[in-house]
Amino acid sequence: MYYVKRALHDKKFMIMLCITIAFVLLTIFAGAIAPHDPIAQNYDAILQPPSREYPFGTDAVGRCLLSRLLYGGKTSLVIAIVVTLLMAVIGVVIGMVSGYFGGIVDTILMRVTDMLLAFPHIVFVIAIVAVLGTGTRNLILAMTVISWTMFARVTRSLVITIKKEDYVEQARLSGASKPAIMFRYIVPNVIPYLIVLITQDIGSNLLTLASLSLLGLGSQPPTPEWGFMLSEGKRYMQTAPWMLIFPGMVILICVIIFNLLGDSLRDILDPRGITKREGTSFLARLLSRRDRKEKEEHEEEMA
Amino acid sequence: MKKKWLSLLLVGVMALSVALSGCGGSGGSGGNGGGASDETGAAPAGGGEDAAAAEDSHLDFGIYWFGDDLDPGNGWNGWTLTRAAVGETLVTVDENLNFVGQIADEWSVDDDQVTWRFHIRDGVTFQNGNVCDAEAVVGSIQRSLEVNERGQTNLKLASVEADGDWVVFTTEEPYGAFLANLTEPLFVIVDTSVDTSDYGNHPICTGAYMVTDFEPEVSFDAVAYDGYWGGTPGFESITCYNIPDDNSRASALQSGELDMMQRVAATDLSLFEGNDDYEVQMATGTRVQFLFMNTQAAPFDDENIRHAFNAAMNYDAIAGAIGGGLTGVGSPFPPSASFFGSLNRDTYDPDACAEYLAAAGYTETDDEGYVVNAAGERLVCHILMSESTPLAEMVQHWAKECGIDVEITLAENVSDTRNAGDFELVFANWQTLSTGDPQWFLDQVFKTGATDNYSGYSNAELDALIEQLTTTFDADERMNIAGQASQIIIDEAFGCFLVDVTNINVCHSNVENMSTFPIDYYFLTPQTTFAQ
Amino acid sequence: MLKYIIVRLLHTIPVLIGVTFLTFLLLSFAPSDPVTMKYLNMGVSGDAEVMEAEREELGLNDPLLVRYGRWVANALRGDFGESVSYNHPVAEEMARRLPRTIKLAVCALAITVVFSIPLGILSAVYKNKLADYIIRFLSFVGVSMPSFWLGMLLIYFFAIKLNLLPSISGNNVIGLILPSITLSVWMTATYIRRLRANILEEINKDYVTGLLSKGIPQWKVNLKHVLPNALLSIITMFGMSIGGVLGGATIVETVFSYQGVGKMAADAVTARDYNLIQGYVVWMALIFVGVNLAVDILYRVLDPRLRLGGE
Repeated sequence: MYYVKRALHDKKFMIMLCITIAFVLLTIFAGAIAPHDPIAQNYDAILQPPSREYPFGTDAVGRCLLSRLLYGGKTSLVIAIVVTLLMAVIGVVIGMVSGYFGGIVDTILMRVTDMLLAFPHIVFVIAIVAVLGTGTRNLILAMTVISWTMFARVTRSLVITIKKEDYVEQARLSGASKPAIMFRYIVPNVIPYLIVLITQDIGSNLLTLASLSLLGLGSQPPTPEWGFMLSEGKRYMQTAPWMLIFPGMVILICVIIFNLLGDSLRDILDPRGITKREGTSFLARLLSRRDRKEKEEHEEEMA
Repeated sequence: MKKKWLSLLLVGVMALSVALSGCGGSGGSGGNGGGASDETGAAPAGGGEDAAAAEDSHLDFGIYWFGDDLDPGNGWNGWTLTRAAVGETLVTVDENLNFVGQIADEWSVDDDQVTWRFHIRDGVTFQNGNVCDAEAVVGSIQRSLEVNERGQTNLKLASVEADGDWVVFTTEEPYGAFLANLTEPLFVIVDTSVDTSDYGNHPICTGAYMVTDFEPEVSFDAVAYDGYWGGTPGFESITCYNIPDDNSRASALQSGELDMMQRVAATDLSLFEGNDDYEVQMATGTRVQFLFMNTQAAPFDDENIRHAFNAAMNYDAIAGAIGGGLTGVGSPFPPSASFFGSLNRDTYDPDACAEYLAAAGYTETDDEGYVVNAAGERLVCHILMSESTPLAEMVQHWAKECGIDVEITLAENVSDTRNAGDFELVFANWQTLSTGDPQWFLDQVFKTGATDNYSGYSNAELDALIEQLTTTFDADERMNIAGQASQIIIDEAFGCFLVDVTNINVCHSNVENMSTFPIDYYFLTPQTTFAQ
Repeated sequence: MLKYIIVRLLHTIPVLIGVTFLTFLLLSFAPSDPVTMKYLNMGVSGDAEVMEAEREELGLNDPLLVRYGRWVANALRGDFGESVSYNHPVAEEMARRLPRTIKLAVCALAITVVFSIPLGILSAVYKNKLADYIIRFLSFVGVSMPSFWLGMLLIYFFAIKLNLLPSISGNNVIGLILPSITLSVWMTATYIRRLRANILEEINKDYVTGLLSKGIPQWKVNLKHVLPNALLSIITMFGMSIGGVLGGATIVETVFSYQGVGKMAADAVTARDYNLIQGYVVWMALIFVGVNLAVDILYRVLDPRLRLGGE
């Protein structure tokens, strides 16, 4: 409740939240807003530049680009959000177990995350999709399998910190069971940080998704999807530049919105900036891990 | 104050490093051993306008495919050699799909129908100066047969030997497609009297240009061969770039990096057409984009459904939407085939489609406009493909207009699944009139039990016609038979033949004598040059 | 120090084994095996019995671990098998393309360093001033932009409209400019944000306050203490960037039709060239692990705190 109160008083956050909600609503109610059917082809209006009838122009088979972008938002956002949530759930569970129990479980789990981190993610996704075949489901699967490690890392280190706090010690001394401690004391303290991370990760997953669509590993046509539209636009770069520009702009704006929302959430939920280092993507995740490792080493060595 | 000083310093460092990295970079590349190609690569980057004036007759041109090396015996790699006027065959195919002599200037077939004689042109030499005589040709043909399995399939050869200035081939059986198949770039004549182990990088052929430097997948350099039998080539040197992506190739031509390029995407055609800076050439190709229809499984085991599907396609609208001067075909062979005009081809006919659908039991229509049968089931067919294309979405659209539900199934292993016969519809973009002759396509795809007959097509009359083609040597008669065969294919609806692929080539207007052939493995000719 | 290097080297072994085994396991689930692929490539469907015999001969029916062991033994000798789509050894294809990708990666990293360090410092020094806002805004856009979209826009403006730079990158250096800029934008933006944060964090540390209270001028403290410490972390980032660069290269190479290993990997997926994918994965892991090892050692050498602490 404390956080909600803070959030309500944070102007920056409220603005970002409103924009995000507006954006999401736009895609949810695409059916009502879109001026045209996103799939219907119109051979009388092929490759038309933006006009009153078609505000963003039309594509090679005369489909309204604006309508396709509105509908496509649903596909793209749903995939990005589902992947992020799946990643978070898997990562958090593993991170909790690893952080709370420590010992051999911890060592094994952390070696596995090390291994997965030691790798260009796109490469791994490519390999997985090569075996499983393309399609939305496989794409989500591949992205999730690869990227849960960041959440596991962060959760683990948070759990280790919280575990040492006085009130947790007291609970343990007073005989509370391990699950009870986990759910009553640790989970509530981890959640705010996770919300920040999840928000920021949606943006980076949107970008990854777009890249994978470019490589032809994306979703199933004719369902519109942003990344796919963008890679389609590449073919018409010169003759119909609106097919390249508008999908790119929309992705850019959407990622910016989620990143800004994440930033302002962090100011509220994570005033100490624990998640600050996590940044928006894979690279930043790696960095944070190393930094923490380095810090730990420093501390040990200084001590 | 301090801050200002600092920021100036930092910006200075930035600028300096940019300058340094520029120098360091170009210095480093010189050390890579690619000195010659660096120069040629750097020159056109200076800008399009002054490039022409500064060129001392060096051509940069782009094609869309390289094999893994330049050895004509290896895979389909000879295609690159014929595209770049590096390699030549005994006989070649011209702009009008006529056979013309290249290394051979005269040929004939004996009455026994198995003995072919080719007279070797006087004065043809290999690019190392060795004389290209009948013996040399025999050696080269034997090499092609040895190193490539396709060799024997194409020629059905019993023996080949030299007889004075003549090369005498004997086929195992009368084989009407022999001459056409001999033009395939697999049979580019190379010098086998020397070490051939480095032919992947430096093939020794008889063409106008000889390869000097090959950078796999990227480009190769070649210089004019002084001893070329056909006169002085149009350029002193050439660089041939491999740029598979259509848009990249087009933008490289626009930016002046290329003087000439093969194949413009239909979508980019408007950039060059009607622009005085460019010359655009088109030729009806020998390829057709079609759909294999699996006649061994539902729904296309029903001839009515096949016809309904073919009648639902608006061939001309599809061709128009793709653009680039494409035409709807509705026939297994493109308009460049002489019999094309006499065929009764598939056309867009929604009424006929409805009749065929009714005959197949689809009499009702559901809320969404799809036809349903008595059991209330829709007619659903699946196109198997690895990546959706606008063409696929158009097929989907026109099928829907007639109430047929087409779904696109994406799969990575399309060719496996297709070869296993586990599909309903699969796209293909094939040379149907390869080497200017219809037999290969008919043989491979439509003969009962043939290698590429994934769809299980089988028609006794069609088999008999294809058999007849094998023993027919008269060119007109061959086309006549192919026409009859095509009509059977159309009447049986063995596949849906959508559009032909027009070959479109573009050059800057300072390039003269660019050629555009129906067969796309020909491009640069010795006559191509810069305007004076 | 030597002991440290040896320990780190030993640490990389399980990672390499893990990565290779994981990909091996993954690819063993692939829908078609080398024998099927071979026949497909020849354009014939092949007799089931003959194919089974060939599988037996190639040892494809052996247990997974045996096959993995054999693969490792071959790989150690530099033999990664044949590539079906290129018709020659995977090692040969890698050797041909890897230098191109490395060239691209080095250029991109160079651009990143050259731009991110000065801009990061400027942004921190002018904290909350106009320059800072501009730099922060640009770097924010930089991390949020789909990199291949940027690449296409760069081609459109610089190669086609302005005709300044080539869009295809044959084998000359000028051709590398646009792809390496595209590849570096995201990194540059991240580096800037990070460096700024590092400097600001360092400035607020106790020892800085201590030095300042001793009367040492701010700029001197900044130059002598804050900056070196902040820059140190950039070295770490450098090693970590390799992963991002190698992954990003796949995209950039596809956009610019640059024939490096990234494009090769993307193509290998469509061609289902599993040997090639496996070889690629191994090489990427090797590079990643190798560079990071080097960075760790360098860090060890440069950082006074660690140097003192470690020995």
